[in-house]
Amino acid sequence: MIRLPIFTELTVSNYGLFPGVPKGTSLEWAFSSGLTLITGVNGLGKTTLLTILLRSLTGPFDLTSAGVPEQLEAVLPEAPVALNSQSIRFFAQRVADGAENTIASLTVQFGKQVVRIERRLDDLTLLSLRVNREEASLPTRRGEREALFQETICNLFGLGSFVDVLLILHHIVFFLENRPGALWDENAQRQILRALLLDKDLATQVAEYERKVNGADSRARNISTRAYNIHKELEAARHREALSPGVHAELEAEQRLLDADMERRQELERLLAQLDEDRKIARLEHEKSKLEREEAEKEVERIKYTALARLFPKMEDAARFVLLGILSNGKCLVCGAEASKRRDELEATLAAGFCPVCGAEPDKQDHVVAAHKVEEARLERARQRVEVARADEETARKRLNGLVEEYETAIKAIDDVRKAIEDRQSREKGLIAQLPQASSTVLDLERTLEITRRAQREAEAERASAAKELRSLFEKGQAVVIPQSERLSSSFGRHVRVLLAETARLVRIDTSAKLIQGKSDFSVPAFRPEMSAATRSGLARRMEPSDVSESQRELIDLAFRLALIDVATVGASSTLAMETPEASLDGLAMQRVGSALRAFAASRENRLVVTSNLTNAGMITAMFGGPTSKAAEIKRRRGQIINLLEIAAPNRAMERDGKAYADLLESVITGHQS
Amino acid sequence: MSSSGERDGAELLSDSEIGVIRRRARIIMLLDAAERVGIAPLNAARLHAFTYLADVLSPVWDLPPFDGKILKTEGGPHYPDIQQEIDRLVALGLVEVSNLRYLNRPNGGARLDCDYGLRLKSTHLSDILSALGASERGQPLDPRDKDVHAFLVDLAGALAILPNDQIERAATVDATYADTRIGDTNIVDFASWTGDAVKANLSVRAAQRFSAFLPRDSRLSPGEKLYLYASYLGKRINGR
Amino acid sequence: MADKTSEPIAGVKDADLAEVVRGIAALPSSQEGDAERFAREVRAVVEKRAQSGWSNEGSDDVAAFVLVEYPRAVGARFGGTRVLDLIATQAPVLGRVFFLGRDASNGMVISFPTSNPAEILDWLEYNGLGECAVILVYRDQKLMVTRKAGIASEARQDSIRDTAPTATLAELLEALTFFHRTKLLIPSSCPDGVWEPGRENQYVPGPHPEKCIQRELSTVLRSWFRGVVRAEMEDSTDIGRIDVRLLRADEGPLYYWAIVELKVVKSTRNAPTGKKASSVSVGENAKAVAEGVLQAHAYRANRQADEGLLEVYDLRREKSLDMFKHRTVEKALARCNPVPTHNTRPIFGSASHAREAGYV
Repeated sequence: MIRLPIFTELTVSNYGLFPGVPKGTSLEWAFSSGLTLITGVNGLGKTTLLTILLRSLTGPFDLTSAGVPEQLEAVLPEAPVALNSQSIRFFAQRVADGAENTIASLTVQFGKQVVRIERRLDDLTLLSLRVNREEASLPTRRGEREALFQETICNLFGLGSFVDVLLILHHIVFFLENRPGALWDENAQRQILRALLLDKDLATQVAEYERKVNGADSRARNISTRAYNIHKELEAARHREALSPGVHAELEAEQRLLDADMERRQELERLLAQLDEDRKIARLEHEKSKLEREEAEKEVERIKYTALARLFPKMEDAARFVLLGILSNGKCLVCGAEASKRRDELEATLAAGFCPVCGAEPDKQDHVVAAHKVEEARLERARQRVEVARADEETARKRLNGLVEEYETAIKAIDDVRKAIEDRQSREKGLIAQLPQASSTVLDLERTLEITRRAQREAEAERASAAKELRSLFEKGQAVVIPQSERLSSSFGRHVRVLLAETARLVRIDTSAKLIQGKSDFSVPAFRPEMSAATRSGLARRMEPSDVSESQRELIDLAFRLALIDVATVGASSTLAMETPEASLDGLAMQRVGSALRAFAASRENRLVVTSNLTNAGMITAMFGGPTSKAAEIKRRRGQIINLLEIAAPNRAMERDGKAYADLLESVITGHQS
Repeated sequence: MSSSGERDGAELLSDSEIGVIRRRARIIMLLDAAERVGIAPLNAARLHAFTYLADVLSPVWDLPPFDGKILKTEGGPHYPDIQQEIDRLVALGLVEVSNLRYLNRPNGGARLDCDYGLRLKSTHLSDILSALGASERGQPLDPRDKDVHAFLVDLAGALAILPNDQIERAATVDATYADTRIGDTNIVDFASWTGDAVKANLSVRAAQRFSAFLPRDSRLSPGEKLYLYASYLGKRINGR
Repeated sequence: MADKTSEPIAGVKDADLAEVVRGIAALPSSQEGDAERFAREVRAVVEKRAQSGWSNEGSDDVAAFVLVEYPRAVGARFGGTRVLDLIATQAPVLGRVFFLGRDASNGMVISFPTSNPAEILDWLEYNGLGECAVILVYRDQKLMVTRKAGIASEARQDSIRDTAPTATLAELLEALTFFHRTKLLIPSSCPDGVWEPGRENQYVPGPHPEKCIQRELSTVLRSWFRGVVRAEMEDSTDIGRIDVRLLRADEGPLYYWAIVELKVVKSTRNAPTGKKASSVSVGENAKAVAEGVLQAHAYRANRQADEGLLEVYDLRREKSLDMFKHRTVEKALARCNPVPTHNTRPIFGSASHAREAGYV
């Protein structure tokens, strides 16, 4: 008997999405039995909150690396699959600080046992695991830690493998927007029934043998294909034996020419490789010679201008020239006054190395450039270096161009040869095709075919044996499931009556599990919904997914889940966490759904955790129990609401519509328009 | 930097000192060419225009450009570095100034303008001209400078045919400078004059393109190309 | 770089470039030295005034043009004034001395410093300008006297023409005759390289007499036809042709108006002094002339020129045999339609030989 989880407490601390009231505190919630309504405008984090509940239990693993698939494969994976980083960072991405300090703590009851799970939300690392007040000592290695966690949870659920735990969580406990429909997915149905209804060991065995059969089937098919191909080849070879031998000579000639071409190509390729190297070296040489030339020219410039600098007037000359312009013969040329004393002063200043015009000290005078003596021989040497460098550069350039041309010629030649070879080869192929195969080839083929056939037979035998075992397991399973089908049907009928205007019922059929391609001989029980006889002919009509609207599908699925829960727990309790269907139902329908959910919530210790953005106000009010004016009742109802409008970090929609929303919530609680 | 005193041996000028001497040498060469063809003295705007045209057209004589780029401004080419050195050369007694006058600026105020010529009396100057290959006498430090000088004289002669000495206007209608694809206050870069980047120097391309309108065997010397290009500039100034 | 001329240039109209190129016949020539260039430009300056009847001039007869390195510096010594654009303007030139650059266009001018124009050469020497190329122009005599290497150098005379030259065969022949008479006849006026130095009277030619003649001829033609026709030398020796092409640029599209093919006939091959000069046979000379006939004809046709001429320069000692009557040459002539205009120009190894032959 399996145990389904009952959420009792959730704490989320340091998560930017839920800053709490007052701000900076965490989100703390105690799930009491009955309804918990998570409400808020879109984008505040309702789905995120549900996902926190989910991921606390799954950790960084799932049925696929991206989470739960739309439809299940014929066989489940052998072990839980690690989530990809996108899925792991689901929570971290939603906040600015990457949830680096966020911790989620979920307390869950399984029957009489209580487990508290504490995880970081940025990478889903397990921080602590406390079972019945005993703190588990966690291995340091992440993989080992999760393995311990998974084993613990398996035991708490009473299931044989964590894959089955994931299966149950996705198809029974959590009913999120990407809802896999267990009812319509025959693989999912089979797996869920196996996990829920069979005992732990049998359930595990069945899963194992499903994998075995499936694997053996793949192998057998591959080998069979190979054998087939070899067989065809053998046929063709045998056929050719009968043809004329005249083709031989022609073929030989082509072969010789082909060999010659191949050799030439090889030669050319060698040549090309050599040219490529040479070309690269030549390019390098050219660049180097260019640099050398530039340097040499710079050197000449340097020396030239250094020599030239000497020829320019020195500061004294310049000073005298300027002074001469204004103080000639001791008279000021500007105003005519006597100025010989002034001139002497200026001369003295000049003699001391200072500028007579502005008085600047020698090291501040950057007007006149220093003069160096330069040997003519040095300049001559430098010039010669330039000549040599120029000649070298020219040579290098010619060589480079020559090599580039040669290279291109070689490439073209190789191309031509390649084309010639291709032509010859295709001609050869044509000739060979007409050629009788050497007998030894036939023998080889026969031998290979024999070996392959043998391998094929082995694989098929393996498959058959696994299939036989699986069939007997399925029989055992059937023996468990069939007695339950009555209860399942009636429970389903009950729920569906409340949820839908139509009446439908669940019918058991025998279907075949598609574990072996092309064959269908694993008979398993399955359930299909049927419309009640509403047609004139009076016959029941099998329901297909396309027969009903999207929202009706969801409700039928919901009914099936509820029925499964009833049957699986035999009177024990469960949690159902879901996002309420929104806006697609008419008013009466909403009330019906709300009442049905209320019935679930009200029974035993069930927990119903729903999210809503209040567009389905009628449903929510019905879930609470209908309109009321009693203050105590209203207070109680308020206590069942996780109001993200108050707790979560505000977004624009909230800023815009906060007040309106609060009013709406109030009217939903009371059931009266305010 | 000390003002006097020679230092022997292995020391050479620093990069910035080289730049200064190089610019001075260029100015002296430009003015020498201008003197020889009789268009000296030149005012500043004309001298800058001549500097620019010499730079952009040097590939016609297979010579490397002096600077290779110019900042395009509304008033035509202007080289602040060159202007600084011209004024210094005046103080050094190598360049003489005449015809001082005030010019009105467009946004109020006035600017001093004058004409520059070589002060050929200076003995320093004749030694410098010799060393730069601008003189029949003596040996140049670098024989290639003789080609540079010949080019500058050729160009000066070509620009001299422009009516009323409109050399400064010639620079603004120069093909490279006037290229509308480069807006004002952007840099016209024509430095690379080999390989694909030769496309950037429209002036040289224009000078080379004259041959396309001559019969097949006809050859134009580089000097003739310069003269034709100057004619073309003259046409652009006065017509079009 | 030549390939790059094939693409048009952004912002530069081809029509403008084409129009500018039409001035090609008036460009200063860079292929001769500065003095020769100067002479050609001065002639253009003066002839322009002559052809407008000296309308702006006073009563003076003489003008002097001096080629100086630094016109402004020289002019400033004598208180000269600036002169601009002599070629383009009609500013008066007579009674003045000009200090100009090699394009004879810009520089300085002073009035004639000597009362007697004949003393100008002394004046120049006195003032340190004796080494400069100087050109004297005489209006009445319609004469231009050029001293390329200074006042002491050889004087060359050119006429100043009242009318502008035209591109006609008659004028071309006149120019060719002028060239022959003034530049080739006797060794002293012959350009260097025509004769082996020192062996002129032995009629030993230089190593490449055709080339030397070609160069000189194109200089003369450039001067003669300035502004109208541009004379170009064929440069590539691998074609084996020596000629002067005349590109007409005065009206209509530019095209080759005339080709002048040059051939030399000689008695001996070149040899330096002291070595024996081997002789050249009649047959060889005839072959050269015949080749010239065919080349002149072919090239004219090839270039669709108006005129194809063959000038045979006779360096033989014995000139009595008319090459054009030789069998080989006659055969060549017979193959040509039209027959290229042809002339033989005798060149003498000494002045006395020229006189004996009737050339003064």
